[in-house]
Amino acid sequence: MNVFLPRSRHRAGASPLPAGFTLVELLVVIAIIGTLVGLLLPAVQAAREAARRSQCTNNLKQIGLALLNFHDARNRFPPGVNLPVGTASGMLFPSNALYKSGKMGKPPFAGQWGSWLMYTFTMLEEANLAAQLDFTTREYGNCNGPDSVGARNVSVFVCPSDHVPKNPVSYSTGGNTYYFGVNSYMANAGSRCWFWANSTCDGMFQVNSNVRLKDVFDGTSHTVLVGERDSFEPNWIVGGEQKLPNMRGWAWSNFNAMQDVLASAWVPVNYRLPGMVTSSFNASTDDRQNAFGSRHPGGANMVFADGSVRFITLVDTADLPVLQRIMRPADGQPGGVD
Amino acid sequence: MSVPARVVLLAIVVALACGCGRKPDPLLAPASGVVRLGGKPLESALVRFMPAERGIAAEWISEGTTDMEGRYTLACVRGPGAVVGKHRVTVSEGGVPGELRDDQGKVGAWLSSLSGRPIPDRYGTAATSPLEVTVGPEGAGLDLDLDR
Repeated sequence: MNVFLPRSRHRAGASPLPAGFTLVELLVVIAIIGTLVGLLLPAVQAAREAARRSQCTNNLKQIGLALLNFHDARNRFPPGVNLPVGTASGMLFPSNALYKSGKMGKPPFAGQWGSWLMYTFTMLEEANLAAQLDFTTREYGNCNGPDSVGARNVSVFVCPSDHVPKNPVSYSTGGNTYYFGVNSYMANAGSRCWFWANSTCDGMFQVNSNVRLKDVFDGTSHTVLVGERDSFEPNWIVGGEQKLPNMRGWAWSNFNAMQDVLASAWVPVNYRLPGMVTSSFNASTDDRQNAFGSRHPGGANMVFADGSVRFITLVDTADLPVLQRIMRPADGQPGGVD
Repeated sequence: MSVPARVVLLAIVVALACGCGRKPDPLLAPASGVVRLGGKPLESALVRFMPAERGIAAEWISEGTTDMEGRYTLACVRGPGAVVGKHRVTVSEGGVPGELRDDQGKVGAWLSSLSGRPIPDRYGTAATSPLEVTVGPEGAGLDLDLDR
């Protein structure tokens, strides 16, 4: 009999088991839990994204209904951007090629400045906001401080999946800084919208547009009113920060506001810049600025003129004709999408 | 190793390998030509070749701008030329010189100084353009004749 033998749990008749785990047991348990969490995490993230997507769908539904209610009240959709014709800064110039050719006309609301988003406020239960807005001045009158009315965060205009590093965003010119509440949603300006000289003016909204439902020959269920733009663009960096998230604001209302509140189908949905751009603009950023897209995987939400919100997945070059057809209300070619 | 074990191992390796590898990139061929509108060369117009085959991303859209004689040479961001295969082609207003961008009147004057304007709208969008061109593997002169 050896009294110095260590106690073993396997020895019959030994005293009670020692409390605790060995290191190996602990590591095995941690590894198993880690694996299970690893399996679960993508599912949790996907569920969160699904929730954000359905909130975005709801935002677009509200916007679509607001536009249709506006149509009920006034028998026309609001203009994409309402601008006086004249030679003052920001107006639609009489010498403008698109005005001379008749593609852009006189403003539906004489003497007013405003984006389509501003005209939907009264239909979105934001009548108090609409009452504070000054429609007789271009955006600078409404946006001259971070607490000004044009800098207000309007949650129904922001998709929860969108990249919003700042809200409001700011813009400095002539020694002044102006502040803008952001918008994730852009109205359908047709096949091509920006740069304005190349604008096709074949969508539902444009500078001084005046479209009625009876003009939508292709059918309201085949024509887009409003869609999302994805503002996350890591390939466009100016001054150390992403340029695109700052290029928007629902209160923009001047001749260049097309780039802030309208979008088009010149490139497929979810187009991203293929290479790094560090300048303020070039041909490819013009295309990117007005591309429909979103951070929801595989497509983007759009609300149609019948009030339905659909997830559009036309992301290939071969999809471009269909994408452009659903932007064009009266080309006799209704695009077929589910 | 026993024979069934080898078969199982081979099956696993094959199954895993199937998940690897991407679809090969489309082939590019050199492509250039002349654009005429009503028989006259069209200057400063944007020519755009959009591959009509499925599964091709926007970075394979080839573009070129015509010079004074209507000549264009295509390139996409992945390299010079255009994807071999069928394309939908649009011809529309080209870019505006950057220094004019802030002035609507100057842009208007510049546009009206160009010959052959306006370019008919139906050539400007993929939804309406009647132009369909097939680019062969050797590339070729791809002349486009437009009419009003």
